[in-house]
Amino acid sequence: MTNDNGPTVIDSRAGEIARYVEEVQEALRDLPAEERDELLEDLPAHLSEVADEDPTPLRDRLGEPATYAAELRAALDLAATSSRRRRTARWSGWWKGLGQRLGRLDQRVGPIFGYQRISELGRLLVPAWWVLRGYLAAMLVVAILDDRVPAAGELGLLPRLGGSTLAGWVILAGFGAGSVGLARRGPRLSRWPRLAALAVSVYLLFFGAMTLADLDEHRWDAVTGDAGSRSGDLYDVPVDSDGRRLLDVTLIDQDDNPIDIGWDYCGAEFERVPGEAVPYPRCPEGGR
Amino acid sequence: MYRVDVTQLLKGVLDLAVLAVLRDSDCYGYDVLRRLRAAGLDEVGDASVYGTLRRLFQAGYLTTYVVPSDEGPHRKYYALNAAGREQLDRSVKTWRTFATTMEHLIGQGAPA
Repeated sequence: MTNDNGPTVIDSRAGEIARYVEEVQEALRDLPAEERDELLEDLPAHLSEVADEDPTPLRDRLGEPATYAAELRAALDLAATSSRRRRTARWSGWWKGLGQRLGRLDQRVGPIFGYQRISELGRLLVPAWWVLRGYLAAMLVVAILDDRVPAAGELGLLPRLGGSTLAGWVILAGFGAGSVGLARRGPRLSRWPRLAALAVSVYLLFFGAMTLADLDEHRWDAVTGDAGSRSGDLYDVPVDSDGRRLLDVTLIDQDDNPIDIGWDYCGAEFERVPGEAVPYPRCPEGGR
Repeated sequence: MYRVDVTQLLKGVLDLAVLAVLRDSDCYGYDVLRRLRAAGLDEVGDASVYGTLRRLFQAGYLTTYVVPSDEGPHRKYYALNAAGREQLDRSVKTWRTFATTMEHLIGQGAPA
């Protein structure tokens, strides 16, 4: 507070501007904070210019802050539309360019497989995909329903529901027919069912790839003799109570019958590489 | 009804009007508003001008600089840059084509 009231008037105008900006900001609170801050960044300075030119109170001169915000929003809606159009045009151009590049690739790769375009071969293979999709759906449903098949890696090549191969075949036939039927009805489906079918198909592809990878891993483990955390060739040798190795031991069952361990074909000449030991449990030292 | 019509028309040409004002000389926000009104665009509002200046600046058509003042607040001046002048040329061409078309259309429908 000073004697000539100058600073008081200035403080009063500054307060009026601050309150006005605050109310405009409040009226635009639905905008993203970053966008709102960017928009109102210069407003206090701009209103200071307005106030400096005309002593009329801001509300009388510019209207209520909410009205000012609405006018500002209207001016920016036009801009938002323009920027949306620009974005749409940019995406549209990008898609068009991608389509052209894929079209050229289509023509270039086709002759390698004896077709004008590789997409022709793709179209011929589409029915095979419908059947495969049905098969994968059957496998997935069995994996979910059958408690005895807890993991995809333990799935066989055929779906077996409750251990019943017949039930598995019925499911397989049902899903195969369903998948083909879905493909034939596909063009007539509305948008959301079509998108749902696409999402399920993508998931089934993923499931199929994972199952195949698991099966391959299990098979590889079996072939290489990898057992759990142990790696490399395994030699399980029995020892006595002093830790001495027991050699030339024969294991017998409860009926005194010798237990045959290892692979049936261990003794076959074509399986043996001279001078190379074949590890247990596939083949004990010296053959069978 | 008249006010709504002019406001709608202004929405489409405010960018061009502001660019045209800045072609003549650099201006601060309130100065742009005053010049537009002096040119006859009485309906234009302060918020519309402020919003348009922000938008044109963000689009890269304007540059700004601050001029300090001892008596009043510092003033932020807006100036056209090269991109702004090109945009103005394009907008002027579009407007002239549109105005000619409208003139022709209105002229055809006018009573003899």
